[in-house]
Amino acid sequence: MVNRNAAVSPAGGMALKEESGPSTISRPRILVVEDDSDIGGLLSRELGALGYTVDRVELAEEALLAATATVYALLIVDLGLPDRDGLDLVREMRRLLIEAPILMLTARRKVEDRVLGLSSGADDYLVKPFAIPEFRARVAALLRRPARMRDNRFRAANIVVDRDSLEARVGGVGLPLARKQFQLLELLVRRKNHMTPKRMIEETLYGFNDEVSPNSIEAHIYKLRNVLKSAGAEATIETRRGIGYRLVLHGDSVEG
Amino acid sequence: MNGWKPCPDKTALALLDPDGSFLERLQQDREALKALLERLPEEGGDRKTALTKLEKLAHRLAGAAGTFGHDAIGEAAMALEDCVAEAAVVPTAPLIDMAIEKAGRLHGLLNKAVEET
Repeated sequence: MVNRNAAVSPAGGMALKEESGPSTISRPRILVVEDDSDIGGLLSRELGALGYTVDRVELAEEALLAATATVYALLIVDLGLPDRDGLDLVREMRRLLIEAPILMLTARRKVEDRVLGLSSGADDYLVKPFAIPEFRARVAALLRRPARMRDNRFRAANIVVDRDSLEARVGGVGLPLARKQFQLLELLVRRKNHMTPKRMIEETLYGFNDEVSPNSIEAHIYKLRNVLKSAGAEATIETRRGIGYRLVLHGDSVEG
Repeated sequence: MNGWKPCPDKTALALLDPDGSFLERLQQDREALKALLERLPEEGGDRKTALTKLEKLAHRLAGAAGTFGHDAIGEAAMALEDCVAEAAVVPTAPLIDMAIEKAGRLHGLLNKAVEET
């Protein structure tokens, strides 16, 4: 699971502190990214006492190294880090497809800050000062979420469809899609490698009272195909005449 | 602060800060605040630097003090942070006076916490 040596590469000069109780076998591992040593120490003690294994770093770059080298059950990220804004860090982690839930900590009290934090990819937000019982409860709630509920993003190869921000990206770059094309891409990504009947697409894209022109699905598919191709998507939409469509990941067998 | 009330008894404080490192920090902050407070009445570049440092110190304390059970310090730091942020943009005499008053109040609370513990 963990390559600790990679995470603490001396080349990066990383100061990763492992703080845990007597045994670390099968314990959920949590990364605390907090430059305030008092708060960081307090959180590590609390989490350690609850039976979690805790790694603590103080810089965003150290956090990226650790989170890419280790599978964490939870990331706790302070917003005001010395080397990089915590929001940027969270965006970068999500761009790198780090899927662990993220609890963001901040002393910024405005509603806009909280909204920005959540829309950047954090799963929950805790404003400092906070009560330790509330911190514990939020950690427990994030850890018991089923994996499928933690993330509202769907992926196929280098394509990411984010239902929260209503954005689709290829290799981190946003795609210029109209609403129906976005819905179509989401459906195909969720059913990647499976044939999606034309009727199912119609039911997803249109309501009972919508008038659907005979070639509207074909037109959306045509446009989507072009957008994906020019963005360098590593997947292609395959057509099965009279049946439907399928998103085929490059390198996968078409007959799959 | 998320509806949490202070727990001022020493046992609770000791649980949150078993090695006393936060208390040590309060001591350092008290000294730093005193030095900055002395620089505030003087106009010019030094005041600007002092305001920036004061805002940073207040921001850190506003976030941490309440979490460690020092609610009154956290609230005073929060009030100071808001005031200093405004004074840093337009350092009018009334705002500077208000910042000095709030910094003085915070200094008094830090004194109390350090002396009592």
